[in-house]
Amino acid sequence: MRMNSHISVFRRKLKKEWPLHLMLLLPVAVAFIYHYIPMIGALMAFEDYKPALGFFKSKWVGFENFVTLFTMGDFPQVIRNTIGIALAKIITGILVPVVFALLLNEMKNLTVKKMIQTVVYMPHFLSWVLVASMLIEILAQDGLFNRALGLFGSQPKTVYLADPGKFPTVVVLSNVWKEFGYGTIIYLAALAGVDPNLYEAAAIDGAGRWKQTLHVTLPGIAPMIVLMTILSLGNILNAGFDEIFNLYSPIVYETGDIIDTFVYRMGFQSLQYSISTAAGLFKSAISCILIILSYRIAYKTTGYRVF
Amino acid sequence: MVQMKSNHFDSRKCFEGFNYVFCIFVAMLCFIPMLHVIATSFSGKTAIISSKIIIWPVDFTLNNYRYIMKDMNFFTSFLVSVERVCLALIIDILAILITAYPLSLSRTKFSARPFYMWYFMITMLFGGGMVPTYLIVSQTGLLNTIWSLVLPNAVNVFFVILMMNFMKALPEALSESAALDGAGYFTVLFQIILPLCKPSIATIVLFTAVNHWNEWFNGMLYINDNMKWPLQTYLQSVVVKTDISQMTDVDTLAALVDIQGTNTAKIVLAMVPILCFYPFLQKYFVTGIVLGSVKE
Repeated sequence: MRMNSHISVFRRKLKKEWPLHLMLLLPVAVAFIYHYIPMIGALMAFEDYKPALGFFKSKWVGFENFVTLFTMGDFPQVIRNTIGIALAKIITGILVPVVFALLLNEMKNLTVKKMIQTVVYMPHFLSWVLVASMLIEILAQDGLFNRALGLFGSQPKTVYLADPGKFPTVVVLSNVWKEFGYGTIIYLAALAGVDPNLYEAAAIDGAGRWKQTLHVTLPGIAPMIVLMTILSLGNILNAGFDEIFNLYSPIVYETGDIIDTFVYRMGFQSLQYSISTAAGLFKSAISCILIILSYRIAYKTTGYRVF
Repeated sequence: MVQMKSNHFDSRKCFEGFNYVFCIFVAMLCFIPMLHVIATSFSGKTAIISSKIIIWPVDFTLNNYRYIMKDMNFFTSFLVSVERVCLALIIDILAILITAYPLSLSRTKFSARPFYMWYFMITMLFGGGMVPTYLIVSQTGLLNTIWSLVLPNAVNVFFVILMMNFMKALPEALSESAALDGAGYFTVLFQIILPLCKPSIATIVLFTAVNHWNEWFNGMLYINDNMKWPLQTYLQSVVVKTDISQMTDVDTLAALVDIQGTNTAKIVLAMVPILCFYPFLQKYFVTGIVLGSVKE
């Protein structure tokens, strides 16, 4: 009896809602073919995948590929590089935009402010291919950067992209150069939302501009800073494939090789499909957990919801 | 008392002056690399060899650009990129609209909404990885076609959520009264909702265009025939990964310098479309990013 009523409710809903299902049919199919099937295909990380045999006939080897991966020597270092570069990018990616937004916010001349914003947002829209080619040019031995340092009496001309000790720094600073302007947008929006009455009240209480910044502005944008910090947790294994792939070379693998570039080289240059997939799966699994965790924390602390 | 006040005033002025100088300096740091590349592209060979160029062309010449005029590969890939962007715009926007509309309805109106929502969210949280995705793109016969660059990521879940939130904020009365007049879901979406979504569509159009213009990796992965490469993939192969070892010693230096000049010219030409779009981008991306990240 109850079962029947469930079915009739279902039928009634379907009769009314079927056009919506129809509407979603194509997007669902595309997502299924190009996202869900590869997710199942990632199980080849547990196989000794041979292209000739295909996914279904290749031999099942359990965790063998993961054991090889972690005892191979390079991979633990690759993970360390990834986390190091990613953490530095996360920290600079919050600190620099916050400080710059605060400085811009103190500007009274709106024309100058607008012009500066226009210029600093610009690099975000260039691809890493273009930015990397500019950097290769500028950081060369006789490039603009070394010549500028020469003016200040710095003699030895380093080739920054071929120096393993300096490569991670170059990667992080280049990322700051490209993305900090764009990052300021969020904080400028948050700054615009701070109640002007609070400033007046603080001024009446005798607070100068610096005190106002400390006690009104910063607490005003603190929720946004906290939120962005929590959400960036999911990026802890994302050191930026596009950037590093276009800047690195075998000379700097020891400090510059990251999981994503490792996955690419294993899969498409060494043709070790299963090892490559195992490394990729390792990264996806941890990232997935971190993203879910960060969204939970963000919801609990700031009430942020994606949908 | 008066003394103190004027001191305070001075330090404020001092800070403001410093602030202007510092911010303008930072803005210049963002701009100089681009100016340098533009200046190099207009400079003569000898000036490039002796690395004299800073931000202004030395021995002004158009030779580098004249040389590109004869380079078929560059133009072919430029056109591939234009084709790719147009194709992606049509497919992505349509896909985003038909995905976002059902998801923007409340659960009482569309009981399967939570299921579909999670179905799409999961694609954002977890990916199959490079090799399995490559294998399926190859299995579905997209390899070496422009569709391999457009179809696999046609449903951009981030933009779907952006669009969905925008649709949710629209007054419900409009679509309800249309439904009372007998309009179906498709009619409501394309005749009532769509015209109201213009601002968010504009944002998504600009971002999709820029993303597809800038994307180079899928071109490298899925397309073997370099006459079918999009511009950024082509540039990646000639500008970033120039293989010096394949040149003979005698020609190396001369060839490298020639390459440096024409390469910078290629970089500049690839930047031009972005620069043309930039004023519009700037108008819309603030709404876009704020809509996407700060949902209350």
